[in-house]
Amino acid sequence: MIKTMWMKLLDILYRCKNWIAGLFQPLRLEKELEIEMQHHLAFSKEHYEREGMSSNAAKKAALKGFGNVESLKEDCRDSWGTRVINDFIRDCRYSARMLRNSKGFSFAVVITLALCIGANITIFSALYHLVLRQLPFEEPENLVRIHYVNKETASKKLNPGNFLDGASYSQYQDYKAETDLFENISLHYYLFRVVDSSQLKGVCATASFFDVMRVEPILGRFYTEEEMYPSTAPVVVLSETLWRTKYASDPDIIGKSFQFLNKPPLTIIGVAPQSLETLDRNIRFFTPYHYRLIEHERIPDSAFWARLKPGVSPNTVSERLLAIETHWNEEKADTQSKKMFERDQRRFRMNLSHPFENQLLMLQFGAFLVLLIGCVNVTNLLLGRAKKRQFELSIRHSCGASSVALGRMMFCESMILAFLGAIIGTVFSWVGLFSINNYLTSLDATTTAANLNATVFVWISVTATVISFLMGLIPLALLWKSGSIQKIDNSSRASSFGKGAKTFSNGLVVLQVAMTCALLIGAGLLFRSLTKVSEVDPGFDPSGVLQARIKLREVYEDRTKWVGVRNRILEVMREIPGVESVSFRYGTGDVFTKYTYSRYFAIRGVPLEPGEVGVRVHIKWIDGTFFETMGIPLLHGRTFFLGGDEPGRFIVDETFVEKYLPGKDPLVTELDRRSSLGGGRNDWGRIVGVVGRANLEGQDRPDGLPIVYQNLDNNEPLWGFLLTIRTTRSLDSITPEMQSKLKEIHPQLHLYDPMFLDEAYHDLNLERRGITWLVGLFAVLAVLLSAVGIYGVLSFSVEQRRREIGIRSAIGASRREILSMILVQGLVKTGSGLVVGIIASFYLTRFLESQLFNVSTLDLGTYLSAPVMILLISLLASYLPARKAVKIDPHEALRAE
Amino acid sequence: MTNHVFPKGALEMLIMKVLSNGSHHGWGIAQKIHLLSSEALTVEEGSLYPTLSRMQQRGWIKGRMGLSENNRQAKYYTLTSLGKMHLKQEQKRWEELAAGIAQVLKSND
Repeated sequence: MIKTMWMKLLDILYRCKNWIAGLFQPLRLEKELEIEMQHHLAFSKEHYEREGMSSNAAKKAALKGFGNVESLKEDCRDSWGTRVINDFIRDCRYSARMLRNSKGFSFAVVITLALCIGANITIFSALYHLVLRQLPFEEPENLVRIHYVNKETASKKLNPGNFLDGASYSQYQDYKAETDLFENISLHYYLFRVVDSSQLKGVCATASFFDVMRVEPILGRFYTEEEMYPSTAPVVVLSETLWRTKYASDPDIIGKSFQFLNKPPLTIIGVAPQSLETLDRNIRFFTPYHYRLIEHERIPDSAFWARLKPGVSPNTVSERLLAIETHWNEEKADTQSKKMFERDQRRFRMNLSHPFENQLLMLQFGAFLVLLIGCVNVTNLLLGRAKKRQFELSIRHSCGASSVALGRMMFCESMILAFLGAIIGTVFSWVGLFSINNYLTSLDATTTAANLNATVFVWISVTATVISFLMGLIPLALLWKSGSIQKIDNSSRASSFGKGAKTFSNGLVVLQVAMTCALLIGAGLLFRSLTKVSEVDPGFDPSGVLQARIKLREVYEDRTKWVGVRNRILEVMREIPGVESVSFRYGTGDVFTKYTYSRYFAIRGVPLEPGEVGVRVHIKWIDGTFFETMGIPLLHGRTFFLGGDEPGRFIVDETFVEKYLPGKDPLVTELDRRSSLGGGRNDWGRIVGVVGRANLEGQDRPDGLPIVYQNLDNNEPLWGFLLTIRTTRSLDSITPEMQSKLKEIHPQLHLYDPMFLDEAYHDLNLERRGITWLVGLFAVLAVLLSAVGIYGVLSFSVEQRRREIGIRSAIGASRREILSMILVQGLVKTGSGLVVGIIASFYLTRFLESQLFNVSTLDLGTYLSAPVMILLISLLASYLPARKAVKIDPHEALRAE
Repeated sequence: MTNHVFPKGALEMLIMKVLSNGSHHGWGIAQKIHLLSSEALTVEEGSLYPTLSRMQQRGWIKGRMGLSENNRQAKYYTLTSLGKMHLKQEQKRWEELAAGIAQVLKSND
């Protein structure tokens, strides 16, 4: 009993060992076999010769006695177990040769696949990198960023990075106490400082920040809680990139000095790992959150990073924090804060989602559609080819190739095509990612470049294999089912491709057209939005307008000097050649603010609705030359006087007049500023001028609110301002001159963020444009692929129906009748596809809504023009095979059996 | 010379028996079987080789190239110890089978 088991085991072991050995030396086994058999035959021949046969007769007798040499060799090869691999290699060689012989077909398939796969790899890599990828920290699923949103920002679905409200240190302390929710929590905000004439972005965070992220310093150490107090020596931690680029990874950097412009020097105590820069690509330094800040003061744009205890859900946290805030407001807040809390209805938002998530998902869907369309095409092409090879396949079958063997052969072919396509597609995607990265980094300065990575490669290989499996075997299965391989049948009369196969093929085309239609409609809607956006009249002339920020506060401690310096700066700027106009205004920095402040005014003589605090407007603080510099037309009255006006003078834009003062003379109207909580100072002022509407918030976010301008140039000290200049010179030529003029006034004055408005204005559209062009590209690809698909199917059908068409033309069908017969065939397929596509679009365009501007998802123009375009192209694609059909000579067709 | 159809497995047994007395190449094995059976058994020559191949894969025999009597290259086979074990086993089974069949044939019932 044991002995038999033991022998069985040995049996298996030996077979494995010999099989593996055989894999490595297949040639040796073949050679030895050949020698053996020849040796045997030689002996046998001699034997017969000795019996008296002639040499030739002996040879024949030897062979006869031996048996079928090749067949016996096959049996031997079977026993080696290497047959599968040898057969496979042989199939591949054969397939390669066949593909080389039909270059057109191979090229079409490979390019189709390459384009589709390339598009998908590109989008998916970007998606993966920006959205799906985990942060490179320990247990990233427990990391959250918590920030406030008020009702206004939440309703506008604004990007998380652009909220207004912030958090305070006392909040941080309250939340820190919630130890059942948080393992660790930290408070941070971003700040900008100038170091050696270049502006750097950094993080100001509590010491717990590094514990939340669970990172270790590359060099030195991180700061501690004690160093958050103002009495300790000021320290800074550098980011890895800054250490590498500015200090050439100097190992002795610890202890050296680091200085922001106009601030006391800091000591460098450590270098932070690069993983922290995934939070924001531009982070260059970390400084401690200073406790000197007023506890309840909310720093704008600050937020919490927290590591949740495992198992705690964001909803629980959100509710708990809201409860804490509500409690605090009821117990401890002053009436002012209380009212603000109620007004704003603050909520917590916790997320790590990327601002582009929706767009990328949409693009991925589009790319996927293109892939499907491409696969459909390829399948149809292969179907056609399989039919052509029907004869060859049936011969093979009759020679003994089983369905498995045939399947393997077809699989080899399609596998070679699919892998070629995948490789070329990867090359395409490398190019594609390169351009997308350029676009992305200009769009959102925080992202790092997306790369092809191993996961994507694996996915692509898997996809390619699956594709080749389907592509190779579906046509074969269809042919097999129709029985046309089992019998050798050369005539094309055997249109017995099976009704199933034909319907399948047609169904594929209809599906193709439907998807193309949906894509094209989507692209059309996006393009119309883009046009509408660019048609929006900004109301001012952004070209040639340069803006920069000047901070007086950090240079001059004495407030009384600020007015004089400001005037001197303006004077000096006017002296620069090429400068046409100089003005200044108050602003927070971003040229086109993506979030809005609204204020309220009461109008003398205009009663308010009950519950209304006043009319809502935006306020801008400017000087008298502002309108001239910006190119905003003055419609009535006058602009502000330079160097001071009587207090209480307003300038409004025409929207204000249209909306709130219809039929009244604006120049005698009086306004009073109201606070949003109700109540004002009863400080009535007068409107002195009306200007044109200017979209200073960007083209596609007009909320229709009018703008009220107030005079900033009134001898009040201003800690900093936005300098606005109209000039014909370029940024590179004028900025150094402006900087040096400033330095003449005071060596520590610095021109922050100089930029031209039209570039910023143009950039507002960058996101929209990028997506529109990408979707447009997909749509064009889809249309091309569908055209090829229709062409393929129709010309295949014409081939099949050669005889029938020949007969028709023989019995008297005119050229036109045959032409129209084929064209109609094509149009019917296209038509049904369009119908399905349009219906699908009704449903699918809903997802586009957030991207559209002034265009309805059911825009008639697009819904009409897209199908028409597809119809025209498919007409063209149908025309070519139709022409081929017409050219069929009835004699030849009938003769070729 | 009557040729009997070889029952399954018998060929392997005979090959192993022949090789137990010394190593031979393929032709030699066929000759030996023919001789030892007093010319009652003739192996269909070609079919020898797939069997030899199978037995080699299972480790019952080992093959090695060498120079044969007529100065040609030939593959010589030897029986392995595993093969010896199998030979004994097969021989025993065959003898039991033959005895059983003979017994049934002799009976008069």
